[in-house]
Parts: sequence; structure tokens; C-alpha cells
Amino acid sequence: MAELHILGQLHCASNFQDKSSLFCRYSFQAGPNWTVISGCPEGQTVSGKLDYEKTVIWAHPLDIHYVTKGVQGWPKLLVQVSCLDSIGRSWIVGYGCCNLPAVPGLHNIHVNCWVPSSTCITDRIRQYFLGGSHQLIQSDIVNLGLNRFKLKTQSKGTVQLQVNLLLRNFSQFGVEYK
Amino acid sequence: MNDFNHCNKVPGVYWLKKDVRDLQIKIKLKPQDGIMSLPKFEDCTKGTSILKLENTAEEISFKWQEKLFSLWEVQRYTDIHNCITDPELNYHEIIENLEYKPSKIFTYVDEDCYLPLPIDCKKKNNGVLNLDLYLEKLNLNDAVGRIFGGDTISTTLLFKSEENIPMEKKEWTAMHVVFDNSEYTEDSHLIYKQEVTLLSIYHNTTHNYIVMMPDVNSLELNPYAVETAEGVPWGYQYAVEIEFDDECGEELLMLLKKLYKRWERKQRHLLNFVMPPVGKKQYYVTLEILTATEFDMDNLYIEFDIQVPEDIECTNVLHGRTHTSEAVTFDGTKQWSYGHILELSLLVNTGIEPAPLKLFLEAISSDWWGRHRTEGYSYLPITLEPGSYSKELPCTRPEELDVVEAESRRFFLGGCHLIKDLNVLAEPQLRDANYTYKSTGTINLRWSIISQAQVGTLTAPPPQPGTSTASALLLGAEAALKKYKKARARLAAATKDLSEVAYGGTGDG
Repeated sequence: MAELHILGQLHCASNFQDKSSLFCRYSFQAGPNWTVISGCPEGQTVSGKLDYEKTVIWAHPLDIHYVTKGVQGWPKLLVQVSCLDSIGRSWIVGYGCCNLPAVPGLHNIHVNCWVPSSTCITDRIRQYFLGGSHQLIQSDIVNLGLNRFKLKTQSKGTVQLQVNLLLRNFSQFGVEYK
Repeated sequence: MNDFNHCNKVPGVYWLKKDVRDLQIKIKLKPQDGIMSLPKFEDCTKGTSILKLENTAEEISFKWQEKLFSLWEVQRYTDIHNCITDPELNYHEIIENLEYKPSKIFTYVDEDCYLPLPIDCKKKNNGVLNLDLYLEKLNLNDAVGRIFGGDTISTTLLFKSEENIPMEKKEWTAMHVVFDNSEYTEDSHLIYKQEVTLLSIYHNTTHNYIVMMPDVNSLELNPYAVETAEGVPWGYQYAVEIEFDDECGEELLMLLKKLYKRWERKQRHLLNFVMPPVGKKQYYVTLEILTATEFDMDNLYIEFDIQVPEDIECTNVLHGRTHTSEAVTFDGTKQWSYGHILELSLLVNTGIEPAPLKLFLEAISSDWWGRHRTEGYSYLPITLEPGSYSKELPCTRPEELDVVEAESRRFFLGGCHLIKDLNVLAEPQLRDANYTYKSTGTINLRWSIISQAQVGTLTAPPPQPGTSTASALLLGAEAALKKYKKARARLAAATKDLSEVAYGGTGDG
């Protein structure tokens, strides 16, 4: 079996327009050939307030060890950024997805986020004054490359991921990645 | 210099499912320097085992608390005047009735009260009447008892009332298998007694488990030496076997075999790495459309079209559109976020250098009236070289030579898919000279390519954790060796059947 170690951190979120605190739920998605043997592929960061650069530092550590019997379904990272306002309400302010590189070493990945936009003026007014957002019922659409042009979205900020990837035994199965 | 205390005797604990009386104990004894006999020529021709060692091992089988007598015991219990207690009288009857033949291996059962019980059965009592404690202090217990770290029941019982003994419910019962090396005269009279315990079995009556000292072993691989407590060998080796008379043992064995087969099948399924078909090379391409920047309109989506060369097999969707994104402004620059992931699995014949994939991107804006306009086209040839890449693609769109006409048409009418044949982007010489191309914005892409090909002709099994790369190289050879062994076993089975037919036929015809 080939192995993939993901070591790093979910570093920060930047350029989100919301002034509330931000936190992130993340999930590593991989194909059926892949099995997590250590580490937690899902989690949630702390909630942090924006600094003067409109950046929230989470520095959430990641340490996941996969074994795989095929390269199909290479792991992806799904992020879901939510805000937490001063009275304890939270709603989603960004969905994002990125494919993990297949090259070992340090990678600094920017995950661009978006959120379904309000389709009518009343929704916009309500969201402006009361908060809240539209959410996806099926979040699978984020990581599946399906035709989705009818979905209207609002671009949001970026989540920064710093990961070190370690690959083992792939070359023994004839896999070239570099 | 090389003298060291060699002791391979370790205790064993077994939980009993059934009654301890169902226990079958076997002792195999053989002289230490046994003669190895080489096979005769006739043995080999008959198809029996090639190398057969002379079976000189003496096997003695008995049940729990079954009394076997040594020669001196037979001598002793034959004379009824030596028999005082009930067990002794019982032994006398047995010897008288059965004409017992003594052997070198005999047993002490629990009624003999001869040898010690486990330490934990010893109940410490600091009372004044605890004779056991004082006997120990006075060193009155026998020597064998001290070897095993416990007190002998024999001396303890001497000071107990005969009536009280059966009243106490004993937690432990013991049985000892002893080797008799005593010297006898010609008429079987004992000169001096010399014996050593081969096996001690203690049964916990409360929790129904047994403690064996020493544990079960193999006579060939790990024989125990018959030796005194001081380690003086007596020239014999022995092995201990134990059988639990378990009726459901076969069923359990079958179940375990089935489970093992299932587990093995599952493991094989897990351990087999997915490989491309023979003679093919597989490429896995993951493409991400990240962002678009510096376009004019607010709402933008990107239509992608991937053209795969004819010599590449691909079953994935090659055409699609991202979601419509509304721009966000960072530092005065408009940015549209997508994060749209495409995955392609490509199959190429080995030995062919595949032509690059053609990726055509078309950025299309939509306004609040629902009109769609092409904002820009872009083209990227993706060469199938493994690695991770990212690129900012500049976009252009065709425009009429007359700027006023072009802007008017674009503002009032809109319109997308300005280029019908996208190949003009890949081959600029096909461009129409009546148009100009206007730069509009950029699209950011990131993609990874992994390739996989067959390694050798045999599918190598995956290496176990901890194996070095050098050993991994030999896995192919090991696989071939395994196949050879399997074939050899099959051939042996087939020849066995033939020999049975040849030699074991009844000759009905």
C-alpha cells in the first residue's frame, strides 16, 4: 500500500468582508481507495477576530496519514468558513475546495471561497441588516466538477493552507508524480 | 565461560470451557541422544515421506487425576500393611485387581497430598493457631515445596484434624507428572529414591482454569530436558501436550478457517494496488479553475472545453461551466472566485508519447437582464508531464475593427460564443484578419498530473511496513517463487492420487 502524510496547518483566512469572528470547518475528502489510518480528516478551527489586515489567524494543525491502494480519488480539502457575531449567531460566509498537490514537499495553497448570493433585493436587505446567508443543501457540489453555472455566488476571501506532503511507496507501483 | 542457566520452561494458563475431567494430558519422552535412522531405498519408492526419523519417543496419555504408579509405589501399595489411609487402600485395590505394570512416568494426584499448590492458595493467617507459618519459619517443609515456593500440604495436614480436611472447600487441586529414576535391585526393591517433576497442573476450582508448569511444547522444536532442580540432566527429553475434549472444537476450527479465508480475501482486496491495464499507461489530471481577474462585468462564469487527442482514451466529462460568480474587490482589483475542480482519467498505450490536451476557456458575463456576453477566450495546452503546475492565463476576445460598432453591438445586443471553432485559439494562423483581439482579463489555473504504468510483468505485492526498498525489488521474484511452490504442491497432490490408484487398487477388474 502506498502512503500519504499530510502535515501542516490551516493557517488563516483573509479578505473576507465580514466583520464578525470567523471560524472554519474543514474536511479532507478522498476516493474509496483511500483510508485514513491516523489523524482526523475533519475538524473545526477556533473562532478568531479580524486583525488590521483583515486576516484571521487560526494556525490549526493538520496531521493526517492516508494509505491507498490506488491513485484515483486523490484527497481534496473542503473548507466551510462561518462567521460568529457578537450575539452568538453563526452562518456560512464561504465555501471552498482545493485539490492537494501530488508533489511532495511544502505547499502554500490559497483556497478561494464563495457563497451562494441572495437572488432578490429583500434577501439582500435582510442579510445586510439581520445577517444570515444562503447555504447549500448538498455541499458535495463544492468538490464535484459538475456543471453548476445556474448557481449564482458571491466571491469571498481566501483560506490559506500550509502543508507538507510526504509520499511513500508510490513509485513502487509505477506512479510518477514529479 | 559459556555456562548459563538455560531454562525453556515457562508456565501456561488455560481457561476451561468444560469440566476439568475432560482434560487429556500427554507426555512424550525420549532419550536425549536418540539415533536418527536414515530412510531405506524401499521407503522412498513407495512414495512415503522421504526422511523419516525413528520414532523412539514413548507417549503416555492420561486424564485429570488419573493415578499412574511407579515401581516403588507398586511395591509399597501391594502390601496392605503399608496402606493406612483411604486413598492408599484404594490404590491397593487397584494394583491388586488390575495387575498394574509400572512405568518410568507416574503421577501424584491431589489425594496424595505430596507436592505443593500454587502460592496464591496459601492463605496467610497471622493468628496464633497458624501452624503453617511456624512450620515455614522452622524450615520444616520439605525441599520440593521450597523449590516451588509453596508449602507442602502433607506437613500441613499432619497437624490438622482428619475430620476437618474434607470440610474445607479447596480452591486449588493439583496433579503432578513425575519421572522415576530410582535405583532398584533385581527383585524390584528400592535402593534409593530419585524422582523429578515433569509437569505440574493446578486447577482452580473457583474459576475453572488450569495453570501448567511447564507449558505445552514441541518435542522436535523445543523439547524440555529431564533434569533435577539443580540442573543435572538425566539424559531424557520430554514434551507436554494437552487436549481439551471439546465437542465443538471442529466447528470452531471450521469457523476460524472460514474467518481467516474471508479476512485473507479482504486483505488481498485491500493490498492489491489498482494498476492500469497491461500495455497501458494511465494519467490522472486534476485541474482547478481558481479565479478570474480584471474583467469588466460583475457576474462571470467560465465555460471550459477540453479536447483530448485521438490516441488517448478518456471517459470523463470534457465540457462544462463553473458557477456564476459576483466579483469582490481586493486592492482595487476585481476578483471572481470559482474553485472548480475537474478530474480526468486518461489511458494511453505505452510507448506512445501522448500529444498535449487542449484546454479552451471562455469567460462569459451575465447581466441583470439575462444577457450573456463573452468576456474573453483563453487556450492552454496541457502536456502530460507529471507534476503540479499553476498558471495565469490571459484572455482575449475578438472585436470588430470599428470600435464604435463593436461597443454598440456589445452593449445593446451582447452575445456569447463569438468563436465557433475554438481551434483558432490553438492555431493562430487560422484567425480571420477582419477582427482584432482585445485583451480583457486573466484566469488562474492550477493542475496536477500523476502517471502510472505497470511495473514489470508480474503485479508485485505491496511491501509490508518496514521493508526496505531493496527487499521490495525482490518481491517480484518472491511472487514467482510462490507460484512455483503452489504448482509443486498441486503436482504432489496429483501424484499422490496416482500412487494410491497404482498401489492401493483392489483389482476389481
